[in-house]
Amino acid sequence: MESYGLNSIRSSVVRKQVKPTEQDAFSSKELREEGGTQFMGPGFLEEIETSRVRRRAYKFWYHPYTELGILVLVTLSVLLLIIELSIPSGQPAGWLGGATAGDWGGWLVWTDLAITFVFVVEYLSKLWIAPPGRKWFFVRSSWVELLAILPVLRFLRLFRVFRLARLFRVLRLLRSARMLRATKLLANSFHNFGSDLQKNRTGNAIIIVYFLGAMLFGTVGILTFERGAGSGFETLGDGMWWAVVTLSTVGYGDIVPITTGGRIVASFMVIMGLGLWSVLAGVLASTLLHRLRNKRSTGLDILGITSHVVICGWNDNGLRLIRDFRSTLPQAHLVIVSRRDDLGIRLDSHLHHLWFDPYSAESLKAAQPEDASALVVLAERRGGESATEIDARSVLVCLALRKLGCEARLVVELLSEEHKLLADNAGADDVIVAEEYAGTLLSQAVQSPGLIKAFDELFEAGVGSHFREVGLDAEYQGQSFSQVSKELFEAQGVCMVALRRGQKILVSSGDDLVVKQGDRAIVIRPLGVRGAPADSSEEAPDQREGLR
Amino acid sequence: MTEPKTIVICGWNVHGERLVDDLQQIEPPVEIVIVSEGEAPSVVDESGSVQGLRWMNAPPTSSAVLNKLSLDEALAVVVLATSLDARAAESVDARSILTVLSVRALSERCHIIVELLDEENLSLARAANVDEVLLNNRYAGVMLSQAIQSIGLGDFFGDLFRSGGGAALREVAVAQTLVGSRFSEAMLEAPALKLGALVGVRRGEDFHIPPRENLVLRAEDRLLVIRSG
Repeated sequence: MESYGLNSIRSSVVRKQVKPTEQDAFSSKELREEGGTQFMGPGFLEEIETSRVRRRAYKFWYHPYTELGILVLVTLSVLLLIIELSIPSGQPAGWLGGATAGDWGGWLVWTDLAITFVFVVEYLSKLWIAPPGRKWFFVRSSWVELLAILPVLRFLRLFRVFRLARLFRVLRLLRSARMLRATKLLANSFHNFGSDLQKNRTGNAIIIVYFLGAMLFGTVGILTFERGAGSGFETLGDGMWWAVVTLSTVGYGDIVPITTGGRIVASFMVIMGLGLWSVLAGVLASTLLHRLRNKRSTGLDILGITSHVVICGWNDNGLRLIRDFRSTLPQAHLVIVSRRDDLGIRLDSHLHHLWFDPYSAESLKAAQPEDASALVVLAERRGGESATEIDARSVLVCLALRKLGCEARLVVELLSEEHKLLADNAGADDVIVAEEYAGTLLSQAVQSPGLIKAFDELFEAGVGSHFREVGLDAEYQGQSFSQVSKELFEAQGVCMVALRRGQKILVSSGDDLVVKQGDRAIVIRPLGVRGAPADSSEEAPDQREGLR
Repeated sequence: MTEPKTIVICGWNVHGERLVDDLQQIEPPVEIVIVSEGEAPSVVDESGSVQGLRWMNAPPTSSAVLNKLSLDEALAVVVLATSLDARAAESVDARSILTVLSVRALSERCHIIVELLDEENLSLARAANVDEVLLNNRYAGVMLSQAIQSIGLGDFFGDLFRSGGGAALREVAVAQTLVGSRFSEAMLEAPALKLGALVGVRRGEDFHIPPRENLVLRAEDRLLVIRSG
């Protein structure tokens, strides 16, 4: 439903002949990523579509650049608060034109009034944008925004409440947590550094904001109640020092609150301090564990490795691929390039995961495909796509890899055999269309009961047997297929299955084939069998033909 | 006992097209009955039947429907996954296993082959007394791995798994003349017996592909061969 709503907004923009700008696209993307419409309640997108003015107001107030501006005002507001607190109460300050901090004539007050006015306008606008009777008022940070504009009450001089209004001004800082999505403007330019860094930056910023917010709450709160009460809290510095000591749970006791209000503030500060360190320790431990468990490569730790295998895209076949590949070449480096989080496999020193989009040439470069010994493109499904769309992406990756000048062996997985020619033209050396084999397998199983088990034996990952194509020494030339089969089996324990002669594969049909010069043998070899190779290309994995 | 001449396909998906195509090449010809709900399979015409091929628009789990098919005389019953969407694997496999149970309840003899999506449901299928299980897309990963390590295997696998392709894996009985011979000696005799390329031996439920030692062939053994399809 959300995507329908977003598309409707986008299409309505087009209908009005307003060119979709970077601003529009970014807003929609942000809304989608942040779930920005969720807190507006169900049916919000459909309702906002009906009013052009509301739509524009929505886009303006929720745009990241607007929120960045609000963040600046929040910061300025808090700075003004700090400045106000730095002036001893009731003391006129020369730089205020002889006025005190609380004087109506002072620029301090008027600036704060102007900022508060902007916040009031913002709040009322968002209230108007929100569907009537919806949850917006009660969810997310809207109540924080309401509290943040309560300082306007100080101008009404309602009883002694306006003293507490200072406290509410600190709450404006809490809004900065929501404004962090504006930092995505910066994060977008760093997306190539990997999601772990991106996510941690946001998490770390939240902790810092929490700490600063707690500090300011404590400083302002304690000064609000304790200044002038004879407890020793006179200046801003006193308040800040006490806040640090209390928040860190050290509690020197050099200055302590003596008023009821001050002690209530102190109680909150103690709880916030305990919570802060607990969260910090937990976040650190969790991050360390996460990085140890799912060590995503940033591309720096694979610098310098060569003859690795690059796997572009990911699906369940990748698990068996890796398991089988490692059964024969356990020391080979494998680099997976995929945006998927749930690979379902434990990474290690030889298995790397680059959290990049495999369909971008720039991202592929990070995997150093030009130094790879082999490249694999897997059919990565992203939900709801047709086989043609998935195969098209795979073919594009093949083109991108060849365009990067990669000469390594390229194997691609397709979903439909119809696209095999396209993959060949895109530079693929081999194509596997496994999904189409099921029908034939079932047919063979009908005709030869038990045959599926034979295939299971042949294609069990990491065990069973492996097919290989190997060269044949000159001594085998002129000999019959059956004779060569016997000699290979007795010497090396392998069974010759077919001959490759140029581009053709020749399988025995009953007549005995004769081995010719240049013929290569396709053999089945059980894993773990040792024996003299048929030729030098069997000797070492990295010298095998096709692998650099 | 009459020669079984019917193959029943319960459920339908795109793999069924290749399956039917292959089965229609069998000699002697067999009758293929497709039991599925909803849209007519692409292999049947508007009348719902073509030569040797019949479609019954009915749930394949229905005993009333299955009872009409003389399952005891069928060559095999193939249960296809009703959907190939891996996200719905649990429900799809559940339905397939239910179909297996329905068929087995009516016939103890018939050979049942089921297509599953999720390997975790394998034990449940075995518990339902199925004869063979084909896990969808099970072999792709290994094929990719082997294709990386050796040139040209992709083409070979295509031949091996394509109907009418250049290669087919088959199981044949050990000829009387080969009983008591070693496996390597049987390789020499293979052309004369029109066997193709010997790749392994099945002894009971165990497969030796290829044998790790030069086995002496027994009469009850089955030879695994690859020959042109």
